[in-house]
Amino acid sequence: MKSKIIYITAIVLTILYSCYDDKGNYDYIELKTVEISNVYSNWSVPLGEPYEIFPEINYGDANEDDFEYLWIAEMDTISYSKNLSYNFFNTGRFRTVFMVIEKATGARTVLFIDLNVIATFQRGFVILTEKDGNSVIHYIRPKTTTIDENTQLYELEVFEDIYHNNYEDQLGSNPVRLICHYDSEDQILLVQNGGDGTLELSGVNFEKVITTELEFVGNTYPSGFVPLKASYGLYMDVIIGTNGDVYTRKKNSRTFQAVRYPNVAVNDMKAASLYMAPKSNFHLIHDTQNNCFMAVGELRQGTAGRIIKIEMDVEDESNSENFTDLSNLTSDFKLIYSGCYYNPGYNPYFQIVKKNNQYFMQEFNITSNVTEDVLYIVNGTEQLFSEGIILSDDTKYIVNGGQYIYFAEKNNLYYYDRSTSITKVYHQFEANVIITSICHGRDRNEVAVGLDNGEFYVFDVSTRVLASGNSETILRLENLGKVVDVIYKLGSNSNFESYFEAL
Amino acid sequence: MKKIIIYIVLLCVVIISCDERQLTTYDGDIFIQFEKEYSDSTSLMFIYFPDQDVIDWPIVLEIIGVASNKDLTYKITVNDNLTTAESNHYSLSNEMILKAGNYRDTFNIKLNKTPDLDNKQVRLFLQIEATSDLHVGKIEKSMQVINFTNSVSRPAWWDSDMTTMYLGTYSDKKYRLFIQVTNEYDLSDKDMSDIRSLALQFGQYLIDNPTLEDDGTRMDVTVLGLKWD
Repeated sequence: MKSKIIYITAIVLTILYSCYDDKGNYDYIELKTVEISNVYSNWSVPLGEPYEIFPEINYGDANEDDFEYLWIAEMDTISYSKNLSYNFFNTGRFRTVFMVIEKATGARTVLFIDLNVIATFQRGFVILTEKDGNSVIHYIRPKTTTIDENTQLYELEVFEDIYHNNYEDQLGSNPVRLICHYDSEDQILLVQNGGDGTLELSGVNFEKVITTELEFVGNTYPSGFVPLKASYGLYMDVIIGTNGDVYTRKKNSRTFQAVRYPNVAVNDMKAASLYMAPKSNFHLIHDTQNNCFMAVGELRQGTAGRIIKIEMDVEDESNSENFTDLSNLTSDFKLIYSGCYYNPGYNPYFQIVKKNNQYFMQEFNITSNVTEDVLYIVNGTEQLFSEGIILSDDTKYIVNGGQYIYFAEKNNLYYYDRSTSITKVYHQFEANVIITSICHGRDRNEVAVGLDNGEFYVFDVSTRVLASGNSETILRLENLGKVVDVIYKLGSNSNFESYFEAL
Repeated sequence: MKKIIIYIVLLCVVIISCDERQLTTYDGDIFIQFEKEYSDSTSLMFIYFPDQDVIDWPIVLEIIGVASNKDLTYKITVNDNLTTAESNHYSLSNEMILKAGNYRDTFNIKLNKTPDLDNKQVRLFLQIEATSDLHVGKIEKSMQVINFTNSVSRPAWWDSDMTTMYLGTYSDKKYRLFIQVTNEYDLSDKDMSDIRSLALQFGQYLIDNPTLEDDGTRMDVTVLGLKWD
């Protein structure tokens, strides 16, 4: 009986199996994929402007109408169009997928790219002018557009009087200088003697952040203090006044205004100048009370704030014989300019100093002793700067790690070749104008020049142009007001350090 | 039907039982007590008041009840059994007046800096006594303790961070001088900027006025930002 049941079951299953209809698709068709070009990573768009990408697609023997498109940024679908035009709401780097999908089969050709959205006013020139008695800020933004894989279009967008136009307010008056400083973003110290006085502007949107007076303990300046200059380090900020008083604040984070300046000045010191080389551990101070150089150290958190003597390294004997003893200056010594070059491990300092009514170029390094209570000048060299050119205390200078030192005296922009010690005129303006400020642009191939007649220029100083013997203007503006200062802001500390290293 | 009649009758009885009466104001006894509880004692050091030989220390009292329309007398006494201060250490008026209409009053007790307080701390135990006008309030607010001295001791805020980063090694002499120079004796609620500024102020004083510790070493601070010889 049992075997009968098994046989009958087997027969029934066999009969039923013959009824099975295989609906599998064995008519193979070709999946259409495409070739995508003109879609690249590594370019940036300021927040508030559309990110536009125009893909070029080779459809092969297929018809363009047979495809649809999809753009997905960080899991969010941002477009169904072939050409992307999208406004991001935040800054950042967005991992993005571009898909070309064949409608009939769903076959996908996929490309991964990064879309980088930067702060609206991240990089660029900031020009401080005095116009109609007011402090005025103008901003010039570099814009690079990718035309194709090998071509980029570089433009400079101008935002005149950006603070007033954005906030319908005045910045103040009697402007003196701009000083940009960084953490993950940047702030710009506007030193001015009118209006609310010296204050910080946001580097993100140029709005007023805080007056410097409120950055002091007690929310007021110490008696007689008027801000002149400030330098910003990892652990210490230093500010000096027109009266030479020096105030230091020790930071517990890189965050702006996390701490306030004390109302007690560094004793026994009057600063005529203040300079901190990028990525260095010292704020250098020319102390006119004691005719020497001193430093506020910040080698490490624990010792940051120490007031350190600077001495000549006599034992090392690396300094040239004619190098001025910076620990024992004569009363006629005057520091005109401080700068530095980038070099991994240490930064060679560059100074223009005035002695005996002559201008000398100094280059040197600074090393520390083991206990970090003395700094030594080493490898110092000194020579007359740009012999034959009439210089003054108002001559403007910029240095970089390259071959040339640019400087401006009255209406002439010069460049000094460090390898040949030859000075040449790059551009001569009309005789009745004075160059009031110069700075580098996006790299060492750009020099910006501000004039007292309200004009502003960005010059191409690439090797090609220098070799031609003629200046080449990238941008010219006028009617800005008397230019007081020009800086190039970088938007963040990491950008600043990369920029410095590239210079 | 019978039930409805019963309910109506009951409702009428309830309504009839209602009566209109005027609200009356409280005219009971009035109690007086300290604002602070007994356990929240006060500790005073004369070094916090560098230029004073006598401290007028205010003590606040409050009443429970309705303010009176006439002046009321209250009495503060010293519990001799629990007090270590001697009569020359303080002066206190026994009977005080709470002005008509007031709910609070403040009286001052005078604490005298006597030489013997340089080396010891004394305790003053105050208590409220009932008068014909006022009863004593809550027991835990009927007493107050004031400890006072002219000696100093290391405050809790002068910890290892304060020693390492700002004021250096603690000494009674340094603490007294710090208070004298900065007019600050409690840095526990100060932020980093204030503390550094005060330490620099004190350091500047020590540079201008070199001072020796009792062991002969030069008094200094650890805050960085000043030039020392």
